[in-house]
Amino acid sequence: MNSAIKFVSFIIFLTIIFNSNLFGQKSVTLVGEIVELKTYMVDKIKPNSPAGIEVTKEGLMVGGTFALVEKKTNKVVILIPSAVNKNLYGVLEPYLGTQVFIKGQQYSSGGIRVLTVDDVGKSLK
Amino acid sequence: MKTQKLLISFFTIIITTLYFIGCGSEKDPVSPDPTPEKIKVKSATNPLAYSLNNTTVVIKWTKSLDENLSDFDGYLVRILTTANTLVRERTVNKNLDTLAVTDLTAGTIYNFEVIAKAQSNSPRYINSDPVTIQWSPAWRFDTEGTIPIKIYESSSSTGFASGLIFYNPSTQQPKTVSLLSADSSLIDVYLFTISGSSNVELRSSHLYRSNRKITRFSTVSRDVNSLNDPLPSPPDTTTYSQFQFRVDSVAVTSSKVLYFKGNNGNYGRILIERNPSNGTLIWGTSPEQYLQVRLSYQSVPYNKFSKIR
Repeated sequence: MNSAIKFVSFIIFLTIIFNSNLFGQKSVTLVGEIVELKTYMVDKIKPNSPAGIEVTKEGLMVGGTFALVEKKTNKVVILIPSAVNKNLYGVLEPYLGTQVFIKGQQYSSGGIRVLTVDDVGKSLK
Repeated sequence: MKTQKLLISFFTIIITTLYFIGCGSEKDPVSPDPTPEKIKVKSATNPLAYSLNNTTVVIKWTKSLDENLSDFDGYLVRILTTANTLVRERTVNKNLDTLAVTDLTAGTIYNFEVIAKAQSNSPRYINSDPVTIQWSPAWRFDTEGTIPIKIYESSSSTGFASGLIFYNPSTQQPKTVSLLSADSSLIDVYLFTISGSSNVELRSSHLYRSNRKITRFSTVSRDVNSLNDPLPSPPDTTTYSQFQFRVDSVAVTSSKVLYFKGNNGNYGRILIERNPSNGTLIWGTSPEQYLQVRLSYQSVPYNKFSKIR
């Protein structure tokens, strides 16, 4: 009986470990829209129109930050380069105004989420 | 007396013969400066072509061996219809071997003649005979709108595009869609996941659902890194006999160009880009691997020169 309890406890422990953010990192695929952080948060502008794309690009050209507005939660995830995509502007700029998925490693701390851009593509969801 | 008659007859024959020989000469023996027959400069050889976009064909040739002559004056490229009606002429300086012929009509087949030119006042040389190549402009699509064209393997979720429409008439662009999308009847090819491996197969859409469009691949493919790949002619139309093309997850040295014939007889080419991070033609990770492609597409049916290479 003790062995069974220990085994079940161990499985629960592993499940919690691998499905939580205790380690602050996990592989995810998020769906949403790419924005520039300041343009979106302060000016409330998304790149979903020609003018919106222009303003967003202007923000990025003066040192702005790429972010993803997650479709499911409407929360903002900050996007950062990865080993395979070091030039974020070159990789993400074509997708402005498109619903995308981004695959990468998500790091969470203090309520802030950061996602490496390992892969990006047009999302059909 | 008899000897005298014989001598007179002999001299008469000699004089008559000389007279007729003199009159029979084609050259004017009086002219002090006869014009020598002019020589053709050596032709350009090995004409090649590719279509750059729906209005431009690029012609390339091997330069004439007579380029070092002082009377050599470059090249004349004549653009003609298939009925040999002259559309226009372009001149190219010597030392050059390429010309982009613009302002052509999409889907129209043209004859391109390359002529090595001698200077018009050259005392010794005249233009060469033409070398000819036939080609046609075709659409070029490097992206789907602004984004790279990515075809995801069929094991990926519906959120990833596994189907490719070569040419969506409403947008005049290619379009990637889900295999179950509303546009699925327009899909030309899709990316099939080969079970138990990291390999994939680019397949005709009708292999997914029998009522969908049929695409045939040529048995000819090219290991090149660009669609700007000059060739003497497209693959023969009889080579379009395959419904799928397998892409193995192995390192390769270059990208690959496939030739296809679409559902309505629209020919084209697919450049499968090499992934520099792993050296294969496959990008991403299972179960969401993908091919990143560029297209050349002939929107006019049954024009094999779409292959623009």
